[in-house]
Amino acid sequence: MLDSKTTVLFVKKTLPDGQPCAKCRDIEGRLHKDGLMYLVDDVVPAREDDPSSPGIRLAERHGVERAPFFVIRRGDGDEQVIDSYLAFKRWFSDKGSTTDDLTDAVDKHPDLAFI
Amino acid sequence: MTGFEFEPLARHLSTQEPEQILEWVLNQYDNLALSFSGAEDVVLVHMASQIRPGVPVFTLDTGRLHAETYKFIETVRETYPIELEVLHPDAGQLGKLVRDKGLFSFYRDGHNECCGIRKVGPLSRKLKTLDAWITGQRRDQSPGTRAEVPVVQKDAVFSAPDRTLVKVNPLANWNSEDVWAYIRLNDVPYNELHQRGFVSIGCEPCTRAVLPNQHEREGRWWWEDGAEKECGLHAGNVRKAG
Repeated sequence: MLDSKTTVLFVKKTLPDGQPCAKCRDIEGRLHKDGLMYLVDDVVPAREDDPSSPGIRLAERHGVERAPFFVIRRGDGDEQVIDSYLAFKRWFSDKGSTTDDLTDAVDKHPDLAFI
Repeated sequence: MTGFEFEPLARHLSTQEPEQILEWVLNQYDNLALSFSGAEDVVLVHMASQIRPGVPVFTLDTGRLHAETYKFIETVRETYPIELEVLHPDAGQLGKLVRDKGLFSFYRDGHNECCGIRKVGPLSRKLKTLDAWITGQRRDQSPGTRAEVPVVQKDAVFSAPDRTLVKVNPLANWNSEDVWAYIRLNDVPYNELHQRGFVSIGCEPCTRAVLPNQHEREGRWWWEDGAEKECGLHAGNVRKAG
C-alpha cells in the first residue's frame, strides 16, 4: 500500500459548462462504488477551455491524450501515470477484474481488442 | 524485476530483426509465452519454435471465431513444436452478458464490453502468471492512433505493483508486405481467410474482408463511429484560452 509520502492525483476533464466529461463521471462513480476514492489525495481539473489548468499541464508533461488518468507522485518527486481504471485497481489490489474494468481497459487501450 | 538496463536495451532492440529480438527474449526469460491470434502472427510461432522448441504459446478462444480460424489453430498446433494453451472467457461474466444483452450486443453497444469479457479477461488472468509476453503487434496496423508500438516495453496495463511484466513486439517495425514475404519464402501455413480478402482477422461477427487499398482495420467493427472525442486531451480539442 501507499507510504505517507506518496500522493495520488485523479485528473479529470471538465467541459466549458463546468461539467466533467462522460468518462470522468463514469470512473469517478466507480471509484466511489468500489470504495477506492479514499486513495485519491487530490482531484485535478483539466479544463477544456484553459490550457494552463493543472490537469492539462500534467497531461502535456506526461504525453497523456485522454481523460481521466491518475498520477502517482512519490516523495522523491518521481511521477507515474496510470491511464486506465483497470491498471489503477491493479496497482492497489489484486482482486478479480469486473466487466466494467475490462470494458474500460478496451476503451483506453483499443489495441487490446486486436490481440 | 528485469535485471537489466531497460531503456538502452529497448533502443538497441528497436534496430534488430524479429528473429534477433525473439532470440533475446527467449534467452532472457523462462517464464514467458507468445500470444497467437490465428492470423499473420503465425510467423512468430514459426520463428520462436525454431529458437526454442516447446515454446509456450497461448491463443484466445472467444467462442466466436471463424471455423477457418479454429482449423488454422489446429494446423499450427500440429505443425510446430509448441505448447499451445487455449484460453477461454470467464463463464460467469460471459453468461451474464449474453443473458442481459444477447449474443450481438456489440452491434448496438459497441465492441468494448464483449472484447473485454471474451479477450481481455482471459488475457489478464494469463498475464498475471508471466514475466514476459510476445505479441505480433505492428506499427502499420494502427496508423490512425498516435500510440507507438515499441519493440520492447514495460507493460503499462498488466504490470503489477511488485512485478514488471515485459511486453515484446518483435514485428513492430515490419509491415504487412514484410510479413507476407516471410510467409511465402518460408512456406509458413496461413489462415485460409486471407485468400478471401480478410486481412485483420478477429471474431466472425466483427470481421469482414476489405477491398484493395482499404486499411486492414476497416474490416473490424465497421459499424462503429470511432470519433468519440469528448474525453480527448490532445491539442485539437483543447480550446485556447481567451
